[in-house]
Amino acid sequence: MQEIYLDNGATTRPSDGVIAKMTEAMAQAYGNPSSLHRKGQQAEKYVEEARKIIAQYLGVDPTTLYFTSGGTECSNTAILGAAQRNLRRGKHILTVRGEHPATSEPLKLLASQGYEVEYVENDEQGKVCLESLKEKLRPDTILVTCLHVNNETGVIQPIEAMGKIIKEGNPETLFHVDAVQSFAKLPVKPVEWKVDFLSSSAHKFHGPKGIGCLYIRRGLTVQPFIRGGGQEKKMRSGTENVPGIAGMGQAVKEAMEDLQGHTQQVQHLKMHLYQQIINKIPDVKVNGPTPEDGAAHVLNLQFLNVRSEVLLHSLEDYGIFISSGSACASNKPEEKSPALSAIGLNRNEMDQSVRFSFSRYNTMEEMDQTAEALAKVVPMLRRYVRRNR
Amino acid sequence: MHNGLLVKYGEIAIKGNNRHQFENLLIRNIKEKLAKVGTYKVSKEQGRIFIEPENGSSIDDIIAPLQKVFGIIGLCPASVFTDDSMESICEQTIAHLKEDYGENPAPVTFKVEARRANKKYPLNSLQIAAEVGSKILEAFPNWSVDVHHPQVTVWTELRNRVYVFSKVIPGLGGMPVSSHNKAALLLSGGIDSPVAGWMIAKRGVELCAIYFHAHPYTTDRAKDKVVELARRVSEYSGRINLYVVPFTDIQLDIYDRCPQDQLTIIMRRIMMRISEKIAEKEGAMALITGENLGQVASQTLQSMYCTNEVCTMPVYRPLIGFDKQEIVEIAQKIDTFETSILPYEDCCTIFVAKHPETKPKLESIKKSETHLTDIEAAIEKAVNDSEIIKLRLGEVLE
Repeated sequence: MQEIYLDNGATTRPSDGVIAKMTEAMAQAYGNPSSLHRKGQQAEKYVEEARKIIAQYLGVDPTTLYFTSGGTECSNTAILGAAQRNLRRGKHILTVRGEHPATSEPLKLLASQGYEVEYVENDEQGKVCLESLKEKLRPDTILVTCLHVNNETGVIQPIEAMGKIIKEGNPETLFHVDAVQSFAKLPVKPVEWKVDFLSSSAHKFHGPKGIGCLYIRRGLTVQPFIRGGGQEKKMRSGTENVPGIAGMGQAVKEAMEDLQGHTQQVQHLKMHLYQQIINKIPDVKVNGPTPEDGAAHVLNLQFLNVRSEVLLHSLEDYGIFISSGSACASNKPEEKSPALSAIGLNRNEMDQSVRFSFSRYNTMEEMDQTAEALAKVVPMLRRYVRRNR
Repeated sequence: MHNGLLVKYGEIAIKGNNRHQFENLLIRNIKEKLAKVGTYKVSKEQGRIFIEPENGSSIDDIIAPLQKVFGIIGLCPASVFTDDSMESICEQTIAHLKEDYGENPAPVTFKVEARRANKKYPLNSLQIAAEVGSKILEAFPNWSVDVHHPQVTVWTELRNRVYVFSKVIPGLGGMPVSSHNKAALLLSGGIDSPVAGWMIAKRGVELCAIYFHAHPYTTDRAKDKVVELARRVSEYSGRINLYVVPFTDIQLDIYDRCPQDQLTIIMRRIMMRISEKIAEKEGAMALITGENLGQVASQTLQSMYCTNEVCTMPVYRPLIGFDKQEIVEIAQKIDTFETSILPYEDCCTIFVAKHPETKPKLESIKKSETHLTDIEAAIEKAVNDSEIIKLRLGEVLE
């Protein structure tokens, strides 16, 4: 059966170029970049080449980039590092509802240690209310942290405007942006946007799993929390994941070949699928931003009276892979689906929400097939709902 | 040096004429288990089974696997040697005890039990025991003799060779599993049914298992979980054919045509009918379920009366009088608990009424069932379309 992979928000298929690059790095550049001999130097070249490519994409100096094991490690390093660094200055942190656990869990830890974690208000699409940010910013605010693009709903936060408000309000406040869902998909400009930390992860844009890159503004120092051989300028000890790094560099390079073109192409896919779904199937609602507004690769929909997990498995029979926002077994839906909870969905609404997420490797034909499959499956599933609920 | 393992089996030694059959069965099951670990020689002699490692295999590696073989009540690591002079016997016995209890063991009371098959041996049993005992006292001055209630018994047996052993590692007990006794287990992903199957297998019964899969309403991970549970049970019971029965069509039909509060009971009745058919196909003589009285709506006396009514084959419910905690303890002991609590529950609640009937009336249930579309054919189809997954001694075949 042909596979139609529409779960690119979860992870993506590594591109052929990435696989080739990594194979090359594994087979040939197997040296340790810290070794003094030629073999080590050869491996180091792969690392530095990737760093340069990423620096070019972000418009930053390569020395401000640190390779990590992925998005979660980036965000943990930034958030916990920022908190520790400012122990004496304050304990107030601002964030947004519906954040990824890579952010909300370290914040939960800090809250348990006496930090005050406060939420900036958001609108019904999940977008940050800038007025609220301005109001809540205090002299003792040490950190503002949020997603650039929400992984569940695709809402895009006004990072540039936020950066301006934060630095005008309190130049000491650090700004962390989790750009895992926007990196190599949208223009990301940490310097212009006054961002201090920026997290990314390669496997969300056709790179490999287990590798990410943390941007730390030049001149800003934080404590590393992995200690050892002092790699990555002592920020991240442990022998460099050379094939992973090379793969990440290659993935960014391929994305940059036509960043805008890819975004437009993916947006077309999304609109095409969305149009067909609402033409063919009644009682479908969009969660979060309108399809025109949100990130091109995310579409979160509610199919009334259809359990998301059952829909997911039904589509599997057609070789179509999507994501269900929440698992019905969970008693705490706000944990399974923080972003949907943040825009006010109740448990029942979350249980019938699914996410389609696209990549430049999807095709219009796949969108047609998906819409057709949905048109077959959804009415069938709607016949069977729990009667006396 | 521990270079042999003595296998003690209690219950089967008293089985009169059937004894040989039971012994042979146990030996076969032991050999099957050991074949996966290394090369071992298994022999039967005078009411016991003796295992010797060959080609560099080790006794230590087979203790844990043998603790999963039903029919064994104890395992004694033994020292075996040919030199039967008193000097050699005493020396080997001390070495053996040091290996069992350490170079400087804590004080204990002990006695020596000696036996000799060779009646021409210059000393009789009592004299051998006394001699060995005195040497033990010399070696371990803090030990003392207690012939009535010793904490440690040291066995010295003179046969064609000399066998010394003292520690007994407990086995599972039960009876060796035989393919001539087979029962069909209704296996869900829960805690109870693997335990129920294990308990029946312990009485020497081979299992086949039946799982009802409602794709797309249940996830394939739930199925994988059931396969894993069956695999774990098969570490004890040997061979299991797991039938994955496609159940969605029947469930939807029940949903369409029967009253909401009877869904569960009618579903259970059809599951029993399908299971009985599979059991017949497999040559099984009974059905096993993990039901225990009063746990959920479908496990009241009235509900079980109604579900039981559809089949003529005996249905065994070994957990019927157990409390949940008692079941959990066994599940932990047999290593199925952690798998059972994985969160891939039957995701779908559409087939479960908010207030299911807890005191169903058989007549009313039977009447509702007449509305189903050709249930005989549907049952036949479900049986025939079942996927069969073969498990053997903890391995999924193919």
